[in-house]
Formats: sequence, C-alpha cells, structure tokens
Amino acid sequence: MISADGALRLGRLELRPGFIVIAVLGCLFAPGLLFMEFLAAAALHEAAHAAVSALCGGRVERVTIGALGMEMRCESWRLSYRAELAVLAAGPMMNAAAGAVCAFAARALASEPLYVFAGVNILLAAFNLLPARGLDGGGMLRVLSLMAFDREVAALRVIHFLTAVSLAALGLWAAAHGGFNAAMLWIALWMLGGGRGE
Amino acid sequence: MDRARLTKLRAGKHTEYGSGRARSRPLRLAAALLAVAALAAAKAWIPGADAAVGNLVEKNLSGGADYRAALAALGEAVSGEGDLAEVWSALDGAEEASADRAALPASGGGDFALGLPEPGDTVTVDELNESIEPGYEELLLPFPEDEASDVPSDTPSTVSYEHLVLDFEHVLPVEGTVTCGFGFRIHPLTGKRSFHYGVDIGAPLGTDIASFAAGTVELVGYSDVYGNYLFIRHADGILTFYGHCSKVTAVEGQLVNPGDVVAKVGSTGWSTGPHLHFEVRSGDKILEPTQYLDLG
Repeated sequence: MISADGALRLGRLELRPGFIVIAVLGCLFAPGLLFMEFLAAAALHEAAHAAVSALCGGRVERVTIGALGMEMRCESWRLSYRAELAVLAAGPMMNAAAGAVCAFAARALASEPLYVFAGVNILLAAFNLLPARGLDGGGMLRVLSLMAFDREVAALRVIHFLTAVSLAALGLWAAAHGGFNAAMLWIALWMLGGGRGE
Repeated sequence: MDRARLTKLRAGKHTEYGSGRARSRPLRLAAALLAVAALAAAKAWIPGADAAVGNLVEKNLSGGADYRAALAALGEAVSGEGDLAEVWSALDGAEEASADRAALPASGGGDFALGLPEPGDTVTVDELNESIEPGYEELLLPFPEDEASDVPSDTPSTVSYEHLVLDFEHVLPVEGTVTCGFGFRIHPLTGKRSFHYGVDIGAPLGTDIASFAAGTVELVGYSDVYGNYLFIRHADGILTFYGHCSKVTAVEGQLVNPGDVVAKVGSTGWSTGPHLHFEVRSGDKILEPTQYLDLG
C-alpha cells in the first residue's frame, strides 16, 4: 500500500523512498557503509522506545524508516511528562547498553564485527542525544522545558540551531581535510531544515 | 488537569521518537523504484558496475574515511582495549597509526586488527576462500586446513620460496614501511606460530596503489577479512593480490600497465591501520613477495 506522501506502507511500518534507494545502494554496492549494522542498531533503538512507551500506556501508531534513520510516532497524550522522558531516553540508553555489551563480548571473543557493531551502537546513542529538535536529546530538552516553564523556551531553538551549525561546520572541516563527506553535511542540512512538526 | 499537561495537549497529541528522522515528499516513490531497478540491472548486466558505483557511493558518502575501522576502534575503546585516538586516526588518514606501525618489528609484531589475527595468518581456508566470488574458483586457495591455521614448524606446502625470474617489468605497488613480512611469526593473541602469506606495507590512507606489472584486473571484491581487494593477472601465470584497500579504482577486465593506479590504501577488513596486504601467486603456490619488491 502506498501512503499519501509516497511511502510504502506495510501495516504500521512505512518505508520512505530515500530508504529504499539507500538500502539497495548499501547492500548491493557499498558494504563498507555498514548499512545492515546501522539498520539493526536503529531497530534496537526503536524497539526500546516502543517497549517503554507500551509500559507507560502509550500506543505506537507508526514506524517510519527513511534515509536518515527510523522514527516512531506515538500517541503522547497518554503519557505523563516523566513517562515521555523515559520513552525518549530508552532509545539512546538501549544503544549505549548494546554497545557496551557488544564491546565486551567482542573483547572476549576477539570478534571484529562485534567491535564494529558496538561502535555503531555507541555512535547512534551519542548522535541521538544531541540537543537538536527531531532527535531524542532535543525531545528531552523540550519535555524538560514544558515541565519547568509550561512552554518551549526560545533557548531550545538557539541550541538546536547551534547544534546543526556545529555539525555542518564539522562536515565542511572534514571535507577540507579528508574529502567531500556528503553524509555529515546531509545530516546537518536536515537538522537545519527539519525538526518541525513535533 | 494540571496546567503543564494542558499546555502539552495544546502543543499536539503526538510525539515522534527516532534514531534520526525520516521525511519525504509525495511522488518520490516512483523515482526511487526506478532507481532501484536501474541499479539492480547495472549490477546484473554491466561488468565493473559493482566497483564503479560502490566507489562512487562510498567516496561521496564517506569522504574516503574508513568508517568500519573507526567504529571498530570506538568499540575497542569502550571495551577498554584501545583508546579514542584510534577513532580519529581512522577518520583522519591515520598518520599517527602509521607511525606507530612503523615502530613495530618486521615480524612478530605485525598488523593485528583489534587483537584479531592478521588476514592470511590464522584465518581458516574457508574464511579465505569466502573472499572469492562465484565464477573464480580457480583462485581458491588449496591449503589443507591444518596448514592454513596453526602449523608448529613446517612451512605450508603451498608456499614457495623459490625465486622465479619474472621476465617482465614490475614495480613497487606502494611506497611505505613494511609492517609485517612474509612467513612465520608469533601471533600476539594466541602466542602460537602461524604463517603470514603476504607482505604488509603501511602507508597513509588514500595513497595510490599501483599495479605490480602489466596485466588484466581479474577480480574486484569485498570480504570481511580483506576488505576491498583485487586480483591482477600478469604474464607467465603470475597473479597479484591487493587487500584492505579503501577503494578499488580499477574495474574487472581492465588492462593495466606497471605503475597504473588500481586502488587506494585503506584499512578495510581486519585491520587497525591503513596498509596494503600484497601477495604474489604462481599457479597454486604463494611466493615470497618481497624478493620481487624494491623496498629500499
């Protein structure tokens, strides 16, 4: 089934066109991009969000997989602010825990693929804790702002903007030193233009 | 209902959680499916499309950085085995790693990926042969399992120290420091003697790798052990192997001259730092490669 905005919809799961292209490119042509490893880590991340949400009485409406990762849409009005914080924190915490477990397992088993998967999980945890809108870190700041001030304070927008600009600067610096790196600039541009609609 | 909760309700009834964020616009699906079909057709029917598209994608998305090595180093740092500087090395050309590697002895210290065995060292025959794609079975290594892994004293029967006179021009594939030679060495993880079937030449990430001699690119591929690799078939049945490349610039079937750039130095596969794993083969024998290289 095809959704109104052009995604393939399978029940509550939606596959965006960008994901479909990236998946084929990654799997068929560029195994060095670790597509499957990132997809598995993202699935762990979303599963943690969904599990904690269910425990707190929330309901998952839709899981969408796009070129820049997965997202899960929940009915948040069922959740208290504390519960929502727990749901937001669950994804990065799951990746951090999986990263630690895989790292120590890799050390015990002398397994390079496990070291790589540990690194993927740690990176995903750290990235999602960035204080930008659209990421879990930014979401947690938003909820904390609502809890403290009953509104989203203007500083959140500044923090979001500075985070995106910093990432863009890092991407440009990397381009100047090691070659054009579309991935980092792509993420930075998405952050600069995204994050609306929560 | 408290005021904060009311505010939240006014802000919207839904919250999105994600590992990144996915957005799209209408009508992209058809273009995406067309692109997918074109990519699949190119892979199936156009020789060399694999390497060409793969290199294009990885170059533009990664900027030449070895993400696999960087992420493995990150995992290693979390486990307490390494430090975060290795992550930076993998992303930044790893000049520091090269310097560290240059200090290692030519044998016995070697080039071990995160405490893992060096390719061609304690890797089993099956693991080695998994590097070979279907249709190229003549490249499969005929080692008996016991010789490939852990021979206590005998040189594997498939290894030859005979010096063949190569009646053609040949050059050094890459300038650098030999970080691990051909032959037996003590594996630092198991403490046992085992055989290294090539020579490792450490060089900065992205350094050009030249074809050893004139020939035809026989196979370009990727394996977990050797990362990006290629085989080149030369005259007199000589075959050379180039492993751990950051990218392979040559395509299968391409005719090359001595010194033509065929790949770039990398650290893909089981490797901690950028280097070239170079082998010379003749028939079913693996030759001592350094006797054909002017390593200074």
